Amino acid sequence: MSARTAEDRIRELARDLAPVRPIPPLRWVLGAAVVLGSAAPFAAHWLLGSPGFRSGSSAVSSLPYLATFAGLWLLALGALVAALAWCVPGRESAARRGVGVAASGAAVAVVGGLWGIVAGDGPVAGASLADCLPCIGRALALGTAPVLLACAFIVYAAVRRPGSGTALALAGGVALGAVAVHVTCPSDSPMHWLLAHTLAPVVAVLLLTGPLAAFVASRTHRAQR
Amino acid sequence: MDDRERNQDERERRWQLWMVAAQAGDSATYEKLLLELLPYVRRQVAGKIFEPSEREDIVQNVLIGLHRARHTYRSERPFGPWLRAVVRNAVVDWLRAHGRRSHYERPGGIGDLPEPSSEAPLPGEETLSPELEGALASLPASQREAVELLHLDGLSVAEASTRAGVSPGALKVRAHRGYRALRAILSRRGS
Repeated sequence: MSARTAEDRIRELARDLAPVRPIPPLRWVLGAAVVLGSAAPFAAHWLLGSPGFRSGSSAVSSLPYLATFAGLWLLALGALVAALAWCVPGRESAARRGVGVAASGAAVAVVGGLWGIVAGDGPVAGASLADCLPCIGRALALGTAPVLLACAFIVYAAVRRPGSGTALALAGGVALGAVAVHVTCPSDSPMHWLLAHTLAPVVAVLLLTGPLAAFVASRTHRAQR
Repeated sequence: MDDRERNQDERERRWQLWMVAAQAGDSATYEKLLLELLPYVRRQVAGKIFEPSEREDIVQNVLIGLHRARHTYRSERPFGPWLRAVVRNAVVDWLRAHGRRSHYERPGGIGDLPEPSSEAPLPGEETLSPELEGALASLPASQREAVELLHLDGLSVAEASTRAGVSPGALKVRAHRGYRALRAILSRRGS
C-alpha cells in the first residue's frame, strides 16, 4: 500500500491542476471525418486527375453493387463511431453499437460481392493482384484524412489501450476511402468489388494497425505527461 | 420524485458544475469535488476488490485516472456514468497489471466486507431494505448474481453476462426468475 493517503493525493492533484479543453462532441468529430472522407475523391479528381464518378453502366444499379456500397458505408460509420467512443469513459455502449453496425456493414458488403459472383452479374475479370492493388492503394490514400483525424482524437482523449481504437479508426477511414473508390472505379466485376474494395479496410487493418497503434501510443504517453 | 432522488439529482448537478470548473483550472473546486467523490469511489472499489490491503492503492489509481481523463467529460452528459466508467477502467487496469483473479473472490471473514457508508448512493446504486436484502439472500446463487449484477452494480446485460460467464439470454432468464421469486417471497411476507 502506498504511504500517501488518498487525501494527500487529492491535494497534490488539485495543486498541480491545469486547465484543459474538453473533448469535442463525438458527433462533430464523426461529421468532420465523414466530410473529409467524402471530399477526398472530389479533391483527388480535381487536383490529381484521378477517375471521376462512374456512369453509364448497368452494373451501378445492380443489387450487388448497391449492397457493396451500402455495406462499406455502414462499415465506415460504425467503425468510426466505435473508434471515437472507445476512448471516452461512459461511452462504451456507443462503441459496442458501432462495432455491431460495422460488422453488419462488412457482412452486407461481403454478401453483396459474393452474390454478384454467384449470380454471374458481371465479368469475373479484375481479380488479379495487378488489378486490385491500385484500388486498395487509392482507398488507403483517400481514407488517410479521416484515419488521421480519428487518431488525433484518440491521442487527445488519451485512450488507455490504443490498439483497438486505432484498428477501428483504420477500418472506418479506409472504408470511407473504399466507398470513394467504389463509386469511381470503372470495373463492373463483382469479384473486383469484393477483393479490391471490400477487402481494402481489412488489408489496412492487417498491415497498418501495428505501426499506427505504436505511434498513437507514443503520442498518447507524451500527451499524458 | 422523493427526497432521495431529488438529493441525488442535486448532487449530480453539483458534481457536473464542479467538474466544469475544474476543467477551467479552478483547483479549490477540484479539491472539493475529489474529496466529495472519495467516499463514493472507495465504496465502488470495495464492491469490486475484496482485498482490503489493495483497495487504497486502487482508489488512488482511480483518482489519477480521473485526473488524466478529466478533459473527456462533457458537461451535457450525466456525470455518474462517466465516473463509474473511470472507476471501472482503473480497477480493470489494476487487475490486468497484477494478473490476479483472486481479488474477485470474496474471503469468508465478515471483516473483509465493504464498510457501509452513510453517503447517499448514485442512481442505480440504491441501498437495499433489510426485507429485500433477506429475500435476495434466499434466492439461488445464479439468480441472485444476475439480479445483483444488473440492478445493484448497474451493469448492462452484455457486461453482466460476461461477468457471470453465461450468454446474455441465459442471464436475462436467470434475472427474470429471480424477480419472480423475489416478488413471491416479498408478497408472502407482506400477507
